[in-house]
Amino acid sequence: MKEVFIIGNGVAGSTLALNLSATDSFRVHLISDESDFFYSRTALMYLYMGHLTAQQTEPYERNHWEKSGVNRIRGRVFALDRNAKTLTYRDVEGNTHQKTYDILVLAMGSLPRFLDWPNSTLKGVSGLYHLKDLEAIEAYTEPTKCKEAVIIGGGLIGVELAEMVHSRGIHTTMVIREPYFWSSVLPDSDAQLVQKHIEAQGIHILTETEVSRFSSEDGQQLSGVQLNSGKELSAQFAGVCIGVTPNTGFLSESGLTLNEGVVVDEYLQTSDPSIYAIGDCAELKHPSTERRAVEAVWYVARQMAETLSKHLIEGRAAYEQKHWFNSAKFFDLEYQTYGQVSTSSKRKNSEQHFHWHPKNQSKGITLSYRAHDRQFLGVNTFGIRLKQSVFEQWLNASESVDTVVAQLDRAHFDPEFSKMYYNDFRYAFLSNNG
Amino acid sequence: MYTGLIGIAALISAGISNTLGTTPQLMASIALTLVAVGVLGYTYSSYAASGPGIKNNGVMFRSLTQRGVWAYASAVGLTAFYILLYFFDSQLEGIIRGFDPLSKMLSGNPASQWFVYGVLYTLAILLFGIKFIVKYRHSRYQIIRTISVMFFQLVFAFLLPELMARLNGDLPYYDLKNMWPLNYYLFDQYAVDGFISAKQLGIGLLLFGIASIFIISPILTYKFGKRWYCSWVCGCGGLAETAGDAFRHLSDNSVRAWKLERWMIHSILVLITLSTVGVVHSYLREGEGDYWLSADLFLGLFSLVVILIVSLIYFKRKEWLAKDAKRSILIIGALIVGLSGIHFLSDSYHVFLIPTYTLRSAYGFFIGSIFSGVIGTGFYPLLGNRVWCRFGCPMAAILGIQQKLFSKFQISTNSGQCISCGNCSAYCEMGIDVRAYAQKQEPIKRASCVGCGICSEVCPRGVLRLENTANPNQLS
Repeated sequence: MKEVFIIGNGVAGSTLALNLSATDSFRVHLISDESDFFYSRTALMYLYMGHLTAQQTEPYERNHWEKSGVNRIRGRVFALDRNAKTLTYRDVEGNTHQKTYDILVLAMGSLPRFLDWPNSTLKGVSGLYHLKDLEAIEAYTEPTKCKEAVIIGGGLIGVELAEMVHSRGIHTTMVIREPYFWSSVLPDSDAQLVQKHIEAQGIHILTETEVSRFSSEDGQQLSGVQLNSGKELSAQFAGVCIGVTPNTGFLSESGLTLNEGVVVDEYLQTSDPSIYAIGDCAELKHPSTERRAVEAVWYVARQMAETLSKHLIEGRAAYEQKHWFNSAKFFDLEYQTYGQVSTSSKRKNSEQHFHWHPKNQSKGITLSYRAHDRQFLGVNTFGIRLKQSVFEQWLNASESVDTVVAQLDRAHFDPEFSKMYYNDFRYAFLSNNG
Repeated sequence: MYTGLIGIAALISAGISNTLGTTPQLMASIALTLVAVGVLGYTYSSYAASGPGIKNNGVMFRSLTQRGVWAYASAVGLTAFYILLYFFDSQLEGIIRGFDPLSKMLSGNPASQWFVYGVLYTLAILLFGIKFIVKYRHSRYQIIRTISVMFFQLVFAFLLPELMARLNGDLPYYDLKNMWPLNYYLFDQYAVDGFISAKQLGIGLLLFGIASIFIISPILTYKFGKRWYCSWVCGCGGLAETAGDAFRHLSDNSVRAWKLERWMIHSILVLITLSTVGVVHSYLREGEGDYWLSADLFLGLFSLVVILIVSLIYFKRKEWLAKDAKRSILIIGALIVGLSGIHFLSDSYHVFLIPTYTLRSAYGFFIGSIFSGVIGTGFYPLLGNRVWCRFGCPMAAILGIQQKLFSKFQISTNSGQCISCGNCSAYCEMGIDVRAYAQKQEPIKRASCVGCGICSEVCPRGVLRLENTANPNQLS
């Protein structure tokens, strides 16, 4: 029996822990200083808005953990001795414990990114990542105290946080550096579509604007957010959502190769052969073209955990960045993406886009394809559900965009009786490509 | 909401007002109007005023929807109403008289407590049906499905039986869409005799009743899953989907609850089957010669059908069944056939060793009244809106077995898109842990799924889709 210690009980660490404990070869210890049980971080917003209770955000029944044999430890690891293969953690009561591992897996996730803004430690300023952040936000946005909120950053967490505070009747303004909402990821046509939808919900969006400082009347509680234009927005809550960075805190003196995150090879192995890293905190030494070295996404974390499980149980399984996919929901607008659709600023001439949306509706599809041979590259879809497996087939087969357009119905995944837009889309595409 | 409460208060006072000498009809109309205005006003302010989309903000914070004081108060109120209705209907005399004009208009008879119950029940489905449609107006599946339950309740459960009674006084109350074993009394002597004495129409209805169980329902379940009945047609389902919608997240989705569910629902199915067979057998025997079917032939046929079904399930779907399910199917099958065999040998009056009419009336009281009414509906705010459908309904049990064994219906998952947030499991009224399947990228093929489609609505990533295209011979 190998002693496996996993630091972090997010989707990466928990998936790996359950997979390994299902075999007889490992004794699995799962250490977390955040929660007793694995919960879905993506559900934090639903917890705040009252759609779910805390326990409902836990993907596995508590019984399941008891039966799995995984030793769950509540504590914070602060020291690592790679020569002796020991780690040291402090438990909730403040006692320290030293443990010896055969295999150590780092799955500590991310930390919200902050810039060097003056006064960013004021009460009323928070990111949204950790359960503690949610507690803080809950206190800061108490309706009697908080009437106005500013959300800094236009990404997925930003729009979630905007929806959350807006649901409590708080006047919400988003401050975004880019010209349109999330145009650092979406082509402008799509970014505009999403932005329009968000604004229609009653959210104010200030684009091409940055924050210069936070201000306070009493030196403790946030009272306003000052913009680079010199203008000040009155606010009792400011949500900082300008992205996340890998959480590698206690590893700085460990001697492991670190860059932005913990650097790993294709077997998710760090520079120390008995230590692995998965999820948000891992940085791939050799990312595939068009993909990033650090991808702080739920799906990537889960895929890494599945791959590492296979590698440790069956031997030699390499992590491969397959076709990119992701999904999100901007208020009531669902978004799915398969393959590669570049932003307007990064798009090269060799990549063509075709964007279509019906008039006056929050729906749309954008296809991307290679200009010279019309090979299909990827799709963004808004308010229309499309089947992932069909798109993977098309991407694997390097299908032409014309085939994809002709056969788009095959990917239909909207609920029964939904209006189908494929003919409209096809007609628009054909008239454009005439 | 407050207007609705005043309406209910007015309805109660209508009961009292009878003794005060005022006109109960007037009070009843005022009361029902107030209830309607209340529900519609609530619908407007909560859903219509904001844009379309999922509106579950605060569900877990509110007293009424999170087992707070208001939830207990409404459960007590509803339960009290059922107890009055079943056992102390004389106390409701004032209210009942208020419904006389409507009853006379429809069937020509004065109102009974069951007529009043029917009116209130239908009104609840219609009003809360409108609320449901407004709430889920972004989804055509939800709109069409809700119009369907509203239609079947109003026309098939409420208007048609009343009109049929007007046309043909001999006919027993018959809701065409209710099948045995949900209307477990379909084959009781008084009902069968009623059908027979009502001549062609009655015999036609009796044959239709038999066809619905053995022919119509398996075909529809094969094509669409049990949802064609449970969330599109059924009246109990109709009330759960509309008036009960606000409580769907209260259904327990633990593995323990699932275990209890399987035990309970299948025991009730066995019980109702045995008692129906026993009742039919005993009146066939008493009236030997009056009917074309002899008692012994009937019992022999029944045993044959049991053997056939048990062996079909056992041999054809062996690999799907858990060990305990396999064992219980064999034990139950052997028990039923064995008991029938003993009967042939012993020549006793009671087929299954128990006096069947006693069994029948016990069933009617504990299952038909207490479980389906008091617990099933009265406890909506505490246990969720599908307690009866999930733990008690023998019809749901049969359709569930069909769904599991040979239906093309399943909920497909969109590959690896699940983020395990838990909305699907939380809002599943049948307490299915939908997420457990979705996060493993498996389709959901559960006997209890009524296909309401809410999991697919609340999924923030579009992972779930109800489909009729599954290969019925494949589990996943």
